[in-house]
Amino acid sequence: MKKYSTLICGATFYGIGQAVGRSGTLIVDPGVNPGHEFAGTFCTQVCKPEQLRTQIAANFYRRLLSLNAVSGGRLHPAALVPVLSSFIIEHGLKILMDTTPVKDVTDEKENMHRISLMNTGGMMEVAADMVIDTLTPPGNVVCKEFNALLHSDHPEKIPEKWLNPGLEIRHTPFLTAGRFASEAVLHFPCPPDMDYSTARAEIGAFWKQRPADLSGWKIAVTAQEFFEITGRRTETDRIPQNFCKNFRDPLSALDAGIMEAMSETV
Amino acid sequence: MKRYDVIVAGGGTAGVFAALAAAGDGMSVLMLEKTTACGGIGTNGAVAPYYDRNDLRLSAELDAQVLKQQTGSGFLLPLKDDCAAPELLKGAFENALKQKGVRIIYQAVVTGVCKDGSRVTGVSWHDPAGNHTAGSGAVIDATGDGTLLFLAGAEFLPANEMEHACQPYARIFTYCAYGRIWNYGGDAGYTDPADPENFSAECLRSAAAQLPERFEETEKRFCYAPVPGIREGRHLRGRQTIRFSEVIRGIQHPEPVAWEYANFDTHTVDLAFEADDVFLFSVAAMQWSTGMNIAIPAGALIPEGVDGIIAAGRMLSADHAASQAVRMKGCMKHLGAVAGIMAASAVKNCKPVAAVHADEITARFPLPPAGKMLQDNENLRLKDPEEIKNALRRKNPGTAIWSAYLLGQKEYLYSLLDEPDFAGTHAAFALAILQDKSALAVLRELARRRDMTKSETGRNEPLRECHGAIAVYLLGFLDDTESFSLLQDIFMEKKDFFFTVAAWRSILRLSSKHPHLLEPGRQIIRQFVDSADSIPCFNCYCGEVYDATGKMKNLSAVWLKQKIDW
Repeated sequence: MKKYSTLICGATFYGIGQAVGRSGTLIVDPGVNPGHEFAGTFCTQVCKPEQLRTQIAANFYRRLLSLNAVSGGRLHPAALVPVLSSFIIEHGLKILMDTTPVKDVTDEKENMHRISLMNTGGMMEVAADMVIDTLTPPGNVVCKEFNALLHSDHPEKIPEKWLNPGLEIRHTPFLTAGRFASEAVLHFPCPPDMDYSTARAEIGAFWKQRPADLSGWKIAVTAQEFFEITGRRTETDRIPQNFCKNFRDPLSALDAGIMEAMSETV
Repeated sequence: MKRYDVIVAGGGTAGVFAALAAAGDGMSVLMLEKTTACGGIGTNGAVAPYYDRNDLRLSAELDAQVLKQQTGSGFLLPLKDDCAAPELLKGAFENALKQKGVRIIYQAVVTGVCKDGSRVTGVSWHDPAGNHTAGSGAVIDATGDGTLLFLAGAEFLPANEMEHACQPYARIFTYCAYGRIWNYGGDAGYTDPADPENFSAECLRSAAAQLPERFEETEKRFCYAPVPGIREGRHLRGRQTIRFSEVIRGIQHPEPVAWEYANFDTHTVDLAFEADDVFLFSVAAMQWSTGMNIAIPAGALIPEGVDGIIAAGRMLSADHAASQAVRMKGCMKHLGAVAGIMAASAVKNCKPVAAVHADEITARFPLPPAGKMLQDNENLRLKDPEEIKNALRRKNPGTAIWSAYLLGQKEYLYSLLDEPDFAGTHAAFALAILQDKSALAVLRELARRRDMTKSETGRNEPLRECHGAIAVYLLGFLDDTESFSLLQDIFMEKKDFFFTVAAWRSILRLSSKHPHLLEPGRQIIRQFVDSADSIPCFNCYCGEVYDATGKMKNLSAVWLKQKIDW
C-alpha cells in the first residue's frame, strides 16, 4: 500500500494549490478534467492580479493573459482545463484522474487514513497522514446554480438588468459576460435538493420562453455540475472546510490553496 | 437491501438503450451513471453522428422527437442538420427513461458486485450520498471499459500482440463551428483506460497538448467533455468472439443478434506494429476504408464462467483488430437494447443469460436477412480474374488486391508484374499477401528506390503509406533475407516515418527467424536503443504530430532481452 503525506480529493483549483504547497501529496478526482468545478460550471470571472498573494497564482494569471484567455477581469472558461493540465505537469504533481475515493477509515493505531479508491483498474487502497476533501460540500448549501454557456452569432451588449457583476446570491436567473463578446453564461438558481434532470428540464423551459432582449443568445452547453456555495460570497469570508466551490474564481482558489498549505507547512 | 430486476452500470450510448429495453419489458431498472447526464460521448461531447447506422427504432424515434423541437428551442444546433441537438437529447433520454420507470442515479461509480457462486446477484456503488448495494436479477455492464465485468471476475482478451496498446483515443472538446456546436475529436494519443496512472497522465498530457498559441473568438471552444473518447479498452473473453482474421475472410457467426456496418477504422498510425493480417488487409490490400457487415452473436456479450451479467458496448468479445469496426454508436445502441432484452428474458424465465436464444431477441429487434447482409459483403469482391486485372491497373484498385488474395489464383497476376505504374505494384502486393515470392523483384525495386507513390483507398483518398514503405514491410513478411542490408540502410536513414517503422519491423522479423541474421539485427537495434536517434514524426490529419520513437525504443529493448519472434 502506497503512503502519502496528504491525499487531496479533487483536482480542483483549491486542491491543486494545496498540492503545490506541500510535498508527498496524491490528488484524486472522479472526473477527467482538472479544474472542473470552474470549467464545468463556466466561470467567467477572475480576480484582479494584485489580489493574488502567491507568485505561482500570479504566474498562472499571466499565462491566461498571454493565451488571450483573460481580459478585463473576464475569463474564457474553456481555457481552464488545458492550462491547468499543463500547470499540473509542469509542477510534477502526482494525480489520479477518473478515480473516486469511496471509503476513508482512520487507523487510530498508526495515526493515519486508509483510503479506498475506485477506478477502471479496480479498487486500490492508499494511506495518508491527512486527507483534504475539496469536493464534498460542508454544511448547508446556501446557493445552488445550474449554469449554461451561451453563444450569440451577433452579440449585443447584455442588458444591465440581467447582469450580476458582483455575483451576489440571487434567486432569479442572471447572466455574466464571458471573455469574448459572443460568450456569456446563464446562471440558473435552483433549490438545494434539485437534481440534474429537473435542472436541465427547467433551464430548457426557461430559455425557450426567454425575454426578447435575450433572444439572440442560445445555449451551447449546459453545466457538467452544479455550482454550489456553502458560505457567504464575500471576499473576507472564511473558507469553510476546503470546499472547492466556495471561491469567486479559479485564481483565488488556487492562491488560497497554496497559502493554506504554506501556512501549515512553514 | 433494495432489489431491482435489472441494474445497468453506465448510462452512455449503450446503457440508455439497455435500460429502456429492459424497462420496456416490465423490469424494474436502476441505471448508474458516472457523469451528470445520459448519452455518453454522444451528448456530453456532442459526437452527434452515428457513423453509418442508426437502425434501432427507439433511437430513431428519440432523434426524430428532438429534431422536431430543436429549431426554436433556444439551443445551439449541431453542425450537421440531420443530427439531434446533443443537449436536448440528454433531456429526451431522461424523459424516456423516467416514463418507463427507470431510476437514474448520477455521479455513481460502481465499486463491486455481489455474487452467489459464479452468478452476479447485485451491484455496489458510490455516489455523493455514500456507498450502497442493491440486489438484481441481472446486471448489464455498459461502462464501456468493462469495469463491472472486471469486478465480477470475467476474463478479457489480450490487446495488440506486440505492444499491448489500444486504439488511439480522442480528447474531445466542443466548439463553435459556423454558429453551430460540434466536437473536436482528433486522435490524442494512446492509453489503456484500465491503467489508472497511464490514463491520468494521458488526460493531462492530451489536454495540455491542445493548448493553442492564443484562444481566439473565431475558433471559440465551449468545453471539454467530461468523458474522453475512448475507442478501445478491455475486451471481454465471451462465449463467442468476433475475430478480425475470420471476418476479413468472409467467416461470420451464424445467428447474429445485431449487425455492425463499418470499416476497420484504424486510427492506429503505425500499422506495422499490428498483427500481419491488419497490415496485409488494411494497408497492403488498401482496405482501410472498405465497410462491411459484421455479424454480432449473443455470445459476444456473455462472459465465460460468470452468469447474471451481460456486456453492452465496446467491451464486447471481439479481438483487438476486429474491435476497430464493432464500436460505432449505432451498433452500440442496438447492442444495449439487445442486452436489455436478454436481461429481461433471463429474469422473467429464471434462466441463465446464456440460455436466452437469439430468436427471442431478433423477434423483438428484427434484423435484415443474414443472407442479404453476407451477400452485400460478397458483392464487394471481384471474382473474375480479368475484372481484377483491370482494377489492379488503376490508382484506386478498390477491393481488387484483397479479391485476388481470396480468389487464390496466381497466374494472371504474374502477367501484370512487368506492367508499369500501378499494375505491377498492385499485383506484387497481391502476390505477397498470397506469400508468393515472385513478388520479390518488384518489392525490392520499390524499396530500393524509396518509392513514394501512393495508391488511393476506396474513399478516393491517398493511402497514408506509400508503395516503398509497404514493400519494405512485405519483404520481411516474405522472409526475404537477401534484402536484409537494404532494410538496414532504410532503417539507418530514418528519412520517413513509414519506411523507418516498416524496416524496423522487418529487421526484427528476419533476425528472429534466421540465426545468421540475429547478431547483425541485434547490433542495429541495440545501436538504435543506445543512441539519441529519433525516428521521423508523422503529421496526423488533425494536425497532431505523432512521435513513435519512445514506443519503438521500448519495444526494441524488449526484443533485445527476450528475442520475441515478431
